[in-house]
Amino acid sequence: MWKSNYQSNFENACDTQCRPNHHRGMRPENKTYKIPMNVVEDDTQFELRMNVTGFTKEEVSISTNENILTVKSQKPAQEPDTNSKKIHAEFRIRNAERKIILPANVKIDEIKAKYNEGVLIISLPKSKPETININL
Amino acid sequence: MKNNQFYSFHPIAQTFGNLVDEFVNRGLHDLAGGSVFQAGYPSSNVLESNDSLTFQLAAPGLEKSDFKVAIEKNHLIISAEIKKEASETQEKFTRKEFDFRSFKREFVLPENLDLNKIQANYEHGILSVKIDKTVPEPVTSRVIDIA
Repeated sequence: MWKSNYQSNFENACDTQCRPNHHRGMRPENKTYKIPMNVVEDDTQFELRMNVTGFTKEEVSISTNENILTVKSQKPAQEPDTNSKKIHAEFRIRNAERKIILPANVKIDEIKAKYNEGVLIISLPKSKPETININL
Repeated sequence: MKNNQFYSFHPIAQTFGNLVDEFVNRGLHDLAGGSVFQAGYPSSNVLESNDSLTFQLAAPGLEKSDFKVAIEKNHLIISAEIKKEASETQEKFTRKEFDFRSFKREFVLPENLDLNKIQANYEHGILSVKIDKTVPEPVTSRVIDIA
């Protein structure tokens, strides 16, 4: 029961606002893509693993505003590469972002992040549940 | 000439089977938000410049030593052994939108490449393999006298 609660807490905070609503052949340049994310939970923390392939550590930003965690991956505007052309394409590096509503039991002051080869790992330590003794 | 090079990638895609399925899946996923790592093996791009071909593989979160890059006949084979497969660890995923798995991808190389001049590097989750093209023999123009 608790588990499903946590899970719903990791819903995307911007599911309605920034879900891509484009169709093939109609792609506005300024639309926002969602950063793919895995969440691993243990007793002490949640660990978010975000797939930011192709972005450097400096091009990724993490911020919190109250209980909303925002991760953005953005490349500075670049001149298109005219020296080479793509003759086979399966992926593109696109600016993306992800907003997450943090569960109430996350210690926001102690959030830590590290970057490893295109994966951003954010650890969200859990606060210990306060036990309330009820005397009968 | 350019076309030939493009099509040389085609047969290998078929050996991975279900090319159509793959494209349909990727297409749908693209509509739903896009991802660089959602099929069983990493996505690739191939870039061509005047003097080289670059094969890029989106395989985030690995270590340089996980990769093996090999040339066999005219095939470029890129593979990675991931030491601990996700299924073997005890981690509890409450959400999973991308995955790391061992993989192997093959590319048929066009003939005009110099297989002694290959550079590979792994940066920001992208493995790049750059192969220089052979320098084409300069065409010396000559005028043929009419006897």
